[in-house]
Amino acid sequence: MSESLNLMRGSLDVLILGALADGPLHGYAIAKRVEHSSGDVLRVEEGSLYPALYRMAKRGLVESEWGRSENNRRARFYQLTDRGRQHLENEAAAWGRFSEAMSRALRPWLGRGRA
Amino acid sequence: MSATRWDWRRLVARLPFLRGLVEQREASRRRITDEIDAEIAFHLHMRRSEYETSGMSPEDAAGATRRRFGSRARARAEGIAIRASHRPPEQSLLRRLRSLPLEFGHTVAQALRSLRAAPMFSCAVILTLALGIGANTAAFTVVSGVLLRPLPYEKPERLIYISRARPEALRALAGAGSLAALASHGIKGVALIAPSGPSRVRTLPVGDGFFELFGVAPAVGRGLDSGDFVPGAEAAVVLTDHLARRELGRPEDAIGTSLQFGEHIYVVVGVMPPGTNLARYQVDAWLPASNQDELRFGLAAARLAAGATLEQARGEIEAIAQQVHEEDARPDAGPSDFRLPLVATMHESVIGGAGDGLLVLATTAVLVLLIACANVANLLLTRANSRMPEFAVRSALGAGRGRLVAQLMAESALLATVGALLGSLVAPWATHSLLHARGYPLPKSGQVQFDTWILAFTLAVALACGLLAALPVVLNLPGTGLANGLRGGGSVESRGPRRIRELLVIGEVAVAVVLLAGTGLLLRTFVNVMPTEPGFAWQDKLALRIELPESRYPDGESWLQLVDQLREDLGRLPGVRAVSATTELPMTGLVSPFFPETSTNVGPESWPRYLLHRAVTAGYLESMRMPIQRGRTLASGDNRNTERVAVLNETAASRLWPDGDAVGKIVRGRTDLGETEYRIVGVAADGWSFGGTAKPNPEIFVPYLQEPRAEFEMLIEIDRPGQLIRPATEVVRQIDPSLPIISPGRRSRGGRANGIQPMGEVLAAAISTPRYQFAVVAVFATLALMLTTVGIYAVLAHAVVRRTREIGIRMAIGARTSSVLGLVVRQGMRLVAFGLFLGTVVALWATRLLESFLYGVSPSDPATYIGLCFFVVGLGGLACWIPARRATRINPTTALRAP
Repeated sequence: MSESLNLMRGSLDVLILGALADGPLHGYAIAKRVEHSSGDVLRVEEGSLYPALYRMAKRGLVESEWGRSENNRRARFYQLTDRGRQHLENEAAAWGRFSEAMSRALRPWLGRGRA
Repeated sequence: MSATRWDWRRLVARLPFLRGLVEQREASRRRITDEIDAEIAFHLHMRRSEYETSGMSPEDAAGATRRRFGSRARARAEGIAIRASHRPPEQSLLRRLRSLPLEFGHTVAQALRSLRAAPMFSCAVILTLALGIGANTAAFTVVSGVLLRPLPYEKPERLIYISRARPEALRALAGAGSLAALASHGIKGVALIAPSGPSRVRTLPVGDGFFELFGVAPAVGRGLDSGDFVPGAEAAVVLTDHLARRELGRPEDAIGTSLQFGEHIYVVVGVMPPGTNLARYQVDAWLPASNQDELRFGLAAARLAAGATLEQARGEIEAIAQQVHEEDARPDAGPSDFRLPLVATMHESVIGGAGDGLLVLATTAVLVLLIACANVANLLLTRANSRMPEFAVRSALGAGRGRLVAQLMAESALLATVGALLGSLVAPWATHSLLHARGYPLPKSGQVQFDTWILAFTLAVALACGLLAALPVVLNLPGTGLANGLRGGGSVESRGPRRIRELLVIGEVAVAVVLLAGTGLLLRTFVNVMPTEPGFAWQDKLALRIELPESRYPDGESWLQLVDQLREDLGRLPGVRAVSATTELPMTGLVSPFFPETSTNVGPESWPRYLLHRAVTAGYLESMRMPIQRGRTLASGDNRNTERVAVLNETAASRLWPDGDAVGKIVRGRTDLGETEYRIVGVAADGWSFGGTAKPNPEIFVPYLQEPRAEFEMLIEIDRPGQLIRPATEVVRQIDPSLPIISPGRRSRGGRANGIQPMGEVLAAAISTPRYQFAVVAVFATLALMLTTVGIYAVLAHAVVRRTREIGIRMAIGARTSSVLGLVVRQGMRLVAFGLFLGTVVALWATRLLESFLYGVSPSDPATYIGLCFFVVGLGGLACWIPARRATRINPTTALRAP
């Protein structure tokens, strides 16, 4: 747990959108996908996933419907709307610029942590 | 408790439309909750089964799942809040509007619940606002009735009023193109001989067309019409509702009754609605002018011709007056004898000088309300500070900032509305006091009433107050960081609210200082004009005025006879020491001038234009205790058959003969009765003649025996004040049962009441205007001071609570009581000092508005301001002292353990 980073404010939304980029998922699958796609570095407090999903549903970034899970239980599936996809692209670009800038600024110290 | 608790749901359940909405909403909320529960349950199930598959024991798996998920309750609550909030982004305006009443009801209900939870706080706010709003409602009721409401005439804005015109000029105005109609009137006090006994009433002798001009319909009967002005017509009179009821019972029964006004019998043809007043004088009856002499005062009402403006009319009236003057100039009339007629709108002329006083009244009331608002804002800030956790929780549960603002506003508005209702209960009483404290009614006071217009004003003020007072709290709501409030727990307060709180107190002190400065100046004025030592003895006197009717008292002989009999009979009453008579008793506003002939040996700057002329019986000067300085007094030996003599007062003597003794000299001049000359036999000490100005006027006293008049005042010197009014009245009644006994005390525009008056009341009536101004401002200033003191106290008390820990630490490390005391008092007095400074600066500017009400004191009178500083500092110190004492009693150990 120590090497996992606390999620930065607002970043959870982007990660969720990213997880949904390949197709509809239910909440539990989203949590696993987020974790997996960040190389198990980013850990979601799973409880906070749902408010985030509802908030994005309100904003029209995702939509949802009830369906059947792989083990045939009733589950709610989320998928990106067109607006959601657009938002994801913008945010991903912004994150890219941000992390690039951060890395450049912190280059002298990068790697020391590993030593 | 819970059984009586007001439940909005129960109320809503009675309204079908709302019930539908509520049910719909509750169903959708249930559905959302179920969905979220199902979703979370699925998630937890998946996670647990995965842990179990990886080989964990069921217990470990359950625990790990819980830890992984975090707070299930919070996720659920937050989820419900988000999904159930009424503002999805795509919501249509229509749906939003439809949910508005519900949301409003919800907000109000929530506000109500929250206020009921803090009854002390609510009561404090409500009482404060009730005071402020009540005062303003009363002030506005008066201002609206007197200043804002149109006169109750037909097209009142087209009516104008002309005064100070020569009667001939008024007659010549009949053909003026800018006037559609004109009717002159006089003003006359006459004896009314009625079933209830004789009384003096004020009548308005009017010219033809007067009633048509105003277009006010009588309540019963008819107004005076042109038929009443035909020579030989039966004399008709129209009564006020007040007089009709007093003398004849119901107005309906009055019609056709005969009444004797003065010398003549009149038949009542109409009664006007209650409170009716035509033009500027408040009278009891209207009758047709019997001759031109009754219209000699040059007063007239007129209606502007269609399209004509006041300016055009004024120009034409002045031109015609000038022309009449040139054609008809008396040979001895100098250029100064002609004065241009005054032309004003009817409203201006009716209001007269009352407007300025009301403006002062309205200003002071608003200032008090500002202080009340500041106090309430302070209370709200204090409460908001301790409510931060509540706000934080509500915010976490999905209440947006708008929602919280709405709730705060609703709470504040609710408090203000309740305060306004409470204030409205006292407002009628306050209004009544405002109208009657002066001793006689304000103009248009018949139109002052509490109605929907006032109610709307009150509610608007209440809402404005509520929103204004809530503003500092709303501005200080932390935006997104509300969650901090959860941790804050109310014991810390950020810099913002404290700043605002202190600014509010400084503002309060400043406003109170302004009011106090006004009060101080008006008090000094009042003391200056208060005739406690007017130069004559008034404490042991009763006074009455007699106006003898010509029919039964045709000549000086009969007047002398009556005065003699009055003196004799009244003097026989046990407890009466002396009885004298005078014309134009001082402090009554009555003036009879004596114009002295210009002398060659005195420069014009010293020469008085006129002396106040009083014909007095022997014993008057002695009874008034106006000592003779030189020469002799007037004696009963000065009669018809001896030389015309006079006594001057000091002022008159020194101005007529600055270089020598006046005694023995002859003064020539004219009175309203013609040319005359007197030998000066003595000089008496000065006394005041008028209220409102403390400087003595030149006066000349002549023997009543030599110059009897039909109108005079009797002065009864008695052993003990406040007695003998009834027996003295009986004596006068016995001598002449049909003689009205008039109170000499001056009322508005020369009106007088009936009945014998103690001289003290005559004096009080003379200074009723400054006393009224002072009393009104003093009452408001007292209110302001009370509120301000409470405000200072509340802020410091809060500060002490907030700093309990700090003070505890200071005491634990050895701070002495005095230094803790100093700490708190310094904090409070700093605010008082700022407020005092600010208030003084504003007051120095603002009290100039009072200038016309001041006498003998300048608006920047240093004594007033110094006194005020001491007063405010003293009161502020008191307000600081109590919380400071409390701070010294803080127990360091408990304080340190406090959260």
